[in-house]
Parts: sequence; C-alpha cells; structure tokens
Amino acid sequence: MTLDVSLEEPLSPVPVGPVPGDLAPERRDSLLHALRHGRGLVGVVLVATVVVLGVLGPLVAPYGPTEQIKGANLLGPGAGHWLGTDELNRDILSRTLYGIRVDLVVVFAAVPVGAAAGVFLGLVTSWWTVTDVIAQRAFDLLLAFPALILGILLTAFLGPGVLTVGVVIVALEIPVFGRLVRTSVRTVREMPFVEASQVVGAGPWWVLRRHVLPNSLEPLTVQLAVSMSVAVFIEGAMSFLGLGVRPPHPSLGSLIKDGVRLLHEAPFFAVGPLAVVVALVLGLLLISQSLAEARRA
Amino acid sequence: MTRYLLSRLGSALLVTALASIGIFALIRLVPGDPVTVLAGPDATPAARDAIRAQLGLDQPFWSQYVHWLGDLARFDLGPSYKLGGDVGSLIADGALNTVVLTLFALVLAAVGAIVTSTAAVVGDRRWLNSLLSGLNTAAVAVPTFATALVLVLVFAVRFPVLPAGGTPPAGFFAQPDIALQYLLLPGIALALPAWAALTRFLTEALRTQMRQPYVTTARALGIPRRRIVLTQALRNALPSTVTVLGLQLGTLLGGAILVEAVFAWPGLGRLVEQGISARDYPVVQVLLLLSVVVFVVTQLATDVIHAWLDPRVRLNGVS
Amino acid sequence: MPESPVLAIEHLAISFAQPRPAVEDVSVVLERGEILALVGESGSGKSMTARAVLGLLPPGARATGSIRYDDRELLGLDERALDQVRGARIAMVFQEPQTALNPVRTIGWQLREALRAHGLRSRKAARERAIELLRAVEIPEPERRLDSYPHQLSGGQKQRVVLALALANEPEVLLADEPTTALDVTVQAEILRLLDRIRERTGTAIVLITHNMGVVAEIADRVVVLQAGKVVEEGETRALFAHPREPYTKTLLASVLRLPEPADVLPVVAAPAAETTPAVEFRNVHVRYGSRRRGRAFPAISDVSLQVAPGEVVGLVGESGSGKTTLGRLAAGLVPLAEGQVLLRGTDVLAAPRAERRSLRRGLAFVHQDPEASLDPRFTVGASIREPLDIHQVGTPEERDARVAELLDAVQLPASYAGRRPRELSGGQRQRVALARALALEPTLLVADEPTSALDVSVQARVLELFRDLQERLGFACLFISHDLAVIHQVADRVAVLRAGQVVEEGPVGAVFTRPREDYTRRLLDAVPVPDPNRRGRRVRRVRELAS
Repeated sequence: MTLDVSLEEPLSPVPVGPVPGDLAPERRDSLLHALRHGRGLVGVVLVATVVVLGVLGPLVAPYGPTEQIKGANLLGPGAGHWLGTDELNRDILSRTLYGIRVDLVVVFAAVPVGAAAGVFLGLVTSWWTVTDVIAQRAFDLLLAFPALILGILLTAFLGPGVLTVGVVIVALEIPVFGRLVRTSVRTVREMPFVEASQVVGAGPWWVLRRHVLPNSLEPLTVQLAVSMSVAVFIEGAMSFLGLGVRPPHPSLGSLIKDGVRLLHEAPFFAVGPLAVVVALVLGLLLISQSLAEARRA
Repeated sequence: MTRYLLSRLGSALLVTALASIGIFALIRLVPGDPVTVLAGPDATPAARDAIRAQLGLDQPFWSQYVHWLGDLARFDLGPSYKLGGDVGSLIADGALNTVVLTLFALVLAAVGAIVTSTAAVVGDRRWLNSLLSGLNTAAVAVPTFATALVLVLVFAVRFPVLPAGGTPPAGFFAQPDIALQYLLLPGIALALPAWAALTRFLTEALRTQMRQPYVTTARALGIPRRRIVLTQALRNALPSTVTVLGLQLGTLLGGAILVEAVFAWPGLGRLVEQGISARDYPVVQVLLLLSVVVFVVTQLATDVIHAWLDPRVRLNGVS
Repeated sequence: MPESPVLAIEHLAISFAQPRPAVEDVSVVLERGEILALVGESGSGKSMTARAVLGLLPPGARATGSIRYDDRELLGLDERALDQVRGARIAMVFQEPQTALNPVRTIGWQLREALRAHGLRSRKAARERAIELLRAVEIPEPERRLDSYPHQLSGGQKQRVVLALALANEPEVLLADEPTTALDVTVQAEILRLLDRIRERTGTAIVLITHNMGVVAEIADRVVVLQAGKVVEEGETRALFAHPREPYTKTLLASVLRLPEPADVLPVVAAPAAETTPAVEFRNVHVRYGSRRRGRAFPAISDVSLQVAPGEVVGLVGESGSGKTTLGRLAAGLVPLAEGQVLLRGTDVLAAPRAERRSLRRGLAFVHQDPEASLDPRFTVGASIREPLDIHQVGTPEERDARVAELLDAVQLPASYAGRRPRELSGGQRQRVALARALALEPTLLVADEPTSALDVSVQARVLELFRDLQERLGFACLFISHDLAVIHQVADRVAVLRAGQVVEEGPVGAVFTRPREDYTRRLLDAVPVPDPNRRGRRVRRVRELAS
C-alpha cells in the first residue's frame, strides 16, 4: 500500500505519507513554481498575512493584551474596538494579535524541532533491523495515544503553558517524521542506483546522506506543511481545554474557548480568532496540497 | 495467513504490555500527591500514612503494578479518589456514550466518503471535482471545535430544531428517533474531518486504480466505466482504505474530547479531562490504557480485514 | 472477388500537447483471418495506433483520420457506442500479463464480467462458456481454475486467461500488443502457437504489435513497419525479410542478433585457460530467500560452482526464476550467502578482514537492468560517474573531474553531458552512463544484469558493441546476465545455463549453443524465434520431436 497521497488531518498524525520515488530534475524549481501560482500562492499569502500580523502585533495592537478598558464591557464590534471587548473589558483585537504569537512559536519552532528529531531518529535507526524494530515499536507506542490524550498527560507533568504545547507537538511529530523517513530509507535503499554504489563500497552513512536524505526532502516538505496545520489545531484544542497558555495571557485557542463560553451573550467574540486559525490552517493546507501536486506531476 | 496474524498479535500484545507499564509509571511521576489531595492540607502525618496504606501507595512499584493488573483482570477497579463512585462504573457509563458517538461518526464518515469518492470518479466532471475538493479542504481547515460551535449556533440557537447538547434522556435504544436528534450535531462535527481525510484518500486511490492495466483490460472488453469503478476499482482500493479508516478512529477519539466538551456529552473525553485535573490516578490510568488498547485492537482489526480483503495476503500470507 | 477488409485505418494521426505527434500518418488494412504484424521501435506509434482503434488513448490525446470496422467509422464514437464494439467485435490483449488481470477477483468472475458486458447474464451459462474458453486457450483443469486468483497462475497462464477474456465474445479482430514480450522464450513459443491455432479455428484476424523480428518471422502473414509515427514499408512477410526496400527496414533487420544454426558450425575449441587466479569463483554456493528461522526458506541457488577467469566474459542464461540474477547479485555482495564460498581474486570475501574486504569491493562494479532507475535522479551525470571515486577518495577533486570526462569519452558521450540530469537522457544513453560509472574504479569484475534488455534492438546492438570494445580494451572480467541467448552469444566467451537454481550446462558459447548436451539447453535454443520466415515450422517439428 504505497499510494502517493498525503493526508491532512486535524488531530492525530498519520503514518501514511508521500513516498519518495521518481523525481523530476527541475523539482526544486517546480516546488517553488507551485508556491508562486494558483492554490500555492493563496496559501503563501494567507500564511504570510498571519505571520506579519503576529510579528508586528505589539506595534499595531491598539491596547495591551491584558489591559482593561474602563466601561468597555462586552462591547460589540465597532469603531473603537474592531472585534469588540470581552467580559473583563479587554480589547479582543489586541488579544488576538498577541495570541497569534503563541501559534507562530508552536508552528515555526516546535514542528521543525520535532521534524528534525524524527528525521534524525528515523535515519539513524532504520538501516539496521534491530534498531529499526526498537524504534518502530517506540513510534507505535507514541502513536498509540490520541494527540489530545498525550497532551493531557504531558500537561499533568509540566503544567499548562506554551512550553507544554511545544513539547506535545514535538512528541507527536517525532514518530510521524520517523516513519516517513523510514519509508524513504526502505524504498531508496532498494533502488538500483543505491545498489550500484554499495557494490563499489559505499557504507550506510554514505547512502543515507547522499541518496536517501536528498531523495526524501520532497515528501518531508509536504509533511512539514501538513504537520504545521495540525499543530495549529493542537494548540487550539489544548487551550480550548485549558491545557495551553495560562490566563490572562491570550492564545488563539483560549480566545476561542472564551468565545464559546460567552456564545449566547456575545456571539461575535469568537469570530476574529476563529478567522485567524482558519486562515493559518487553510494557508498551510493549500501549500501542502500544491507541493504534493507539483511533486506528482 | 494464520502465521501472519499471529505475528501481528504478538507485536500488539507487546505494545500493550509496554504501554501499561509506561502509563503506570508515568502516572506515579506526575507531580502532586493524591494523598494530599484526599486528606487535605491540614492532615496529620499519621492520617496521611493511613490513607497511603489504604490506597496501597506504600507498596513497591512492581507490587503495585501487579496488583493493578489483577484488578484490571477482574474488572474490579475500586473506588475513584476524587470523582466519586466506582472507577468501573464511571468508565462504563462514559464508555457507552463515547462509543455510540464515535461509531456513529465513523459510519457517517465512511459512508459519506464512499459515496462522494465514487461519485467524483464515476462522474469525473470538472465542476464536481472542484466542488468536492473545495468542500474537502474547508472541512479539514476548520477546527472541530469551530464546526461544533457553528452547528450549535445555526441548528440549536438560530433555528432551534435540534438539541444543543447532552445525551438523550431516555437512552439511545428506547427511542431511536429522539436519540438520532441528539446524535446528529455532535456526530456531524466529529465526522467532518474524518470524512474529508477518507474522501481525499479514497478518491486518489480510485483514480490510481483507474490507471491500472487491469482497468484498461476491462475497458477493452466493453465493460462500462461506471461498472468498472463500482465492481473492480472500489474493491481494489478498499484494503488500503480500511487501514486509513482504522487510523481515523484514533482521530475520532481525540476529537471526541473536544466535541464532548462543546456538546456537554458525558463521555470518556470529559472523564479524562476531569480525572487529570483532579489527580484521580485510578480513573486516569485505566482511561489511558483503554486508549492504547483501542488503538492496538483497531490496528489489529484493520490488519485482519486488510488481509481478508486481499487474496494475495489471505492465500499466501505475504504482506 | 476480393473481400472487403475487416479493419481499415486511414491517415490516422494522434497528437498530445507535446510538439511531436505520437502518430503522424498511418494507414493499415487488415484482411479477414490474417495475422498482420505492426513492427517498430519504441516511439514508433505502434501501440498508440492499436489503442486508437478501441478509443483507449490516454487522456489528452487527439486522433484524426479514419478507422473503419466493417465500413463503420469508429473514430469519434461515444463511450457507449464504443462499448458495443470493444470485446464484442474487436478485442485487445496487452503486454504485461502480471498486471492485466484484476488481482482481487477470481478468473471465473472476470470471465463472467466480460460475458455479461455483451449480454450473457445467466450465471450457469456464463460458467459453462468460461470453462469452454479456458479449455480453448489450453489451460489444464479449467473447472478448478475458475476459482483461482491471478497471483496463483504463472505468467504464461495469465496471458492465456487474458486471451480467453479477449476471445470471450468471439471478436472478429484481435489486437495483440506485445503479448509475449514479458514471457520466457519457451512460454512465448507456446503462446505464439496458440495464437496461430486460434486464427485457424475461429478465423479471427490478428494485429500483432511487436518489436521482435523473430516473432514476426514466426507467425505473421504480412508486416507493416512503423518509424516515428509513419508507415515506412509494408509487405508480405517472406518478401519483406528477403528484400527489404527501405534503409530503415534494412537496419532493423541487420540489428537483430542471430543464433548460430544448431550443429552447423563445428565448435571452436577454446584455448585452455592459463593457470591464473579467477576473478571470481563460486564454491558450492547456496542462496536462500525468506526467513530461515521460520523454516520457510526457499532455495534460489543450490550448490553452484563456477569460475570466471580474469578478462573473461561469462554469460548466465536461464528463464525467469532460474537464479541467474541471484548468482550475479551474490558476486556483487548484494544477497547474503547461505552456504559455500565466494572468492574474489582468490580471497574468500566473507572471511577477509574488514579493510581487505573494502579493497576487494573496489574491484567490483554492477550495472543494472533498468535504465530508468539505475541513476540517482537528483545527481547530474557527472556526479553519478564520480560517485565511486568520491567514495574511495581517489585523487584530488580536479583529477576526479578529469577522469569523469575521460570515462564519458570512453562510452562515447560528449563531455558536456556531465552537467545533464538522467531525465534528459534516453535509455541507451543512461545505460552508457551506468557503464561509465561502473568502470570508474577500473574494476576487475563487472556484473551486468540484463543491461540491454530494456533497449530497442538498434540501440542494444550499439551498446553491446561498445561493451565488447571496452571489455577488450580494459580487460575486466564480466558476469553477463541475460535471458536473451542471442545477446549472450554476441558478448560472452563462456556460458552457464541455469535452471531452478542449478547450473545444468557450462562451456564455451560456441560449443554450448551449437551442440548443447542437455535437453533443457536444446529446448531453450529451439524456443528462440528465428528471424527467418523460411525456416518457420522447422523449429516446431524439432520441439515436438523432443517432447515425444
């Protein structure tokens, strides 16, 4: 079962992924091309917008993230407060802008760290049967827990906070990337061009570094975009359950949670943060889809 | 085939055993002493020791572990520390709600995916493909808790046609029509991302099958395309789809935690959440183990179904 | 009075988005009951022409011109109307029997579907007809085979089932696209005979698409030669072989490698090899596949002893599953040895210390069958050839680049090719690059696993010539694996015939091929189609004699 399909899923990582194989010679260019046109471009624009908003957040936010404004209790969206205010008289737009930063850390720091660790472990273990079996069982074990249960468990140790969310995501991504790389190793090492270099004396490290890694970069890039979108969900879900960022500091997930709590009093509350989450996830998904398509073409 | 299944069973048992030890150890490493939680901050050391001994927490680790396994085997899980009531019945009550919800969502997702994917491949119209692909991306891009919220807002608040949350008062089986009303919103919210992932996979798998040489053979024999999709391509795409379906079950269980929170659905997801925050060891460790067992059993079941669906595995035992 | 042709293709042109059309101008007429061969190399458009008849072109293809069946225009018919023709009037058989059948449905089910598509709905009647069909394609125990899955049949049996499917609704025309290319020679001979008998019995006209001139000579009544989407020449088989008019046809016929006539030539007595250490020596080697622990190990090589002297080319021949590839891979160290010894230049590889093993390895090289996969798609041609030098850190980087240029020159490719990617090369060029990489470290032993099997005959002839030339110049020893006896005859000094993991016969090529000692070798030789229509039938007699 090696269908060249990448799966996008919101909550739990999937060990089925793109498989390395025939790669076009101009593939770097074709991947970049995919990001400059059509769906890929829309994705890049969406993600870039959210990133810019997050980075410039403190400069453009009209109020502080925890600043309480006199007389502005649960105001609807209006001229003074574009997204309204919450029940503690705080400006929701400002809180949203600051909240984005948490997701940026999770997406652009935790996912790459987890991915790098997974790739490293996958590369190091999958060549030899013994280490491969051990690593695969360990990955199975990590994958056996639904993402949120793992999150809940780790929170019990580390307490809620951004760091915990980061650790959960790293822990989730290690087996995903470890397995993906393993598939690559297993596929590429059977290729005739690898056999040809083994016959003249290339060792495992040579093959891993020169042939396997370069030939797995593409599926890894696609998976990276998918994992990033999953990470946004995980932050959201964990904060939603009160396991993420501690109040009064905002994150997109905790803002949505507050929005749910005040659904009947202030239905506008959740709109802003939800829009940002959807934009970020949609952008990452579009990027991963366009990359996967460019790879297959 | 038997040999193949036995080796799968062995590795499943190994994962479960390792996981049970891991969970048991981890739970004991969690900061925060349940004795303090139970006895209150002002208890005397003697009172604390009494509680400790009563809970068996003064025993060595392995002895506690073996004791726990024995309890599990007899399904006599003792009282919970904090949540009140017997652990077994707490879990049994929650399990029914979660299982009904998850299976309902799984059936929705699977049936939905088969219908939409075959329609997309049989129809093979440009507008149909764009529409489905757009719907698909949207279903993945909107987080489960957001879909759940929107569904509540639209169908329970704006147009109050369905209940906003809770389980059917008369149970699931006494009045199935009422039960269905209660299940519909949380079920759809839970099923949507799984449907999207399955549809995407199955559509791609069907397209791949339609490019296989045996399809060309069939077309050259004058068998209509639609019949080839339904009787041949689908049958070939099914084994790998079953594997993906199994993986989706894990996703659904994770999503159930969120959906249960939004819809005030008294299931296992809520129990996990409460158990952790109350440091209720006996509840949490059983739930964690349960999630591992479900994962392992699902994997095993998908392997068996996969093997059974593919005559090459069924008859020759090669995977 | 001449009957009207059953199928007439006129000025067919097929184009894709690419600049060059796949088929430019093809006109072919098929008479009732004849076998017409459509011959050409890859890219000649022969398969596309056949697919166009049934409207089975890949998406994006546009076909113009005219295809008439019984004076009815087929080009431009909609799917529904085409489904009435497909299978019922005109049927098609494809090259790859391994994938042409649905792997998860039984043979009986697939035959029933084919019958159902043209109106036979009764299960009982369909079953009877299916048994009858399997009997017609000479499958033993047809009743039992109905419940078999494709993977339980051999390649030849699968191709028979595919034929049964095609014949299910008694078509008047059968299009057979390379129906025997993926099969062993002995099986190929049986399938060709079966095709001939089907034509005799049912009067079905057959269009045989092939690249193999031997197959054409064996069975076709008429030949149409295609090149780059155009008909170059056509004519009655005997006449065309005897007096080809066009230069292309002449080259095509000249590129075909021929086997010597049995016992026509007295074998040249090979000079006894000087007492030197063999480049490679197998001593009673065994190779097993599958896990030994679980007791399911299946022997791939059993008790083989063989020597290759320095500078000698030894051909390994045999049918699929004979173990010839495994033996070659064993020499290259790519499969684990179960028992026995493999000696490289007199040293037992496995017993040698690590450092020595590495230096022994340096003297080895391997060329793979598949030009598609034998080069890393991410590497430039230069980087691929340099890789062995990089592994062993031979000389300075500049010296390595100079050596790359030298090697490219040796395989007759311009030095500018060093910057190209494999995608930009043709199959023959890629195999040249693979050969250059193999020669980079000046190996003492080259293992070549079917290096020319995926190439067109004219390309194959040039690559073999180059190989022979390099071998004489550089003097490396070679294990040359091929299923094609004519190729082995061309390049090898000695030959070892393998069957079921054992060497059945071994000796100088001339001697073995002209005076085979073993029945098996004789059967292999006789099954090779001879590219000479005048000798048709003679071979068949010999095979029958042997069988009785």
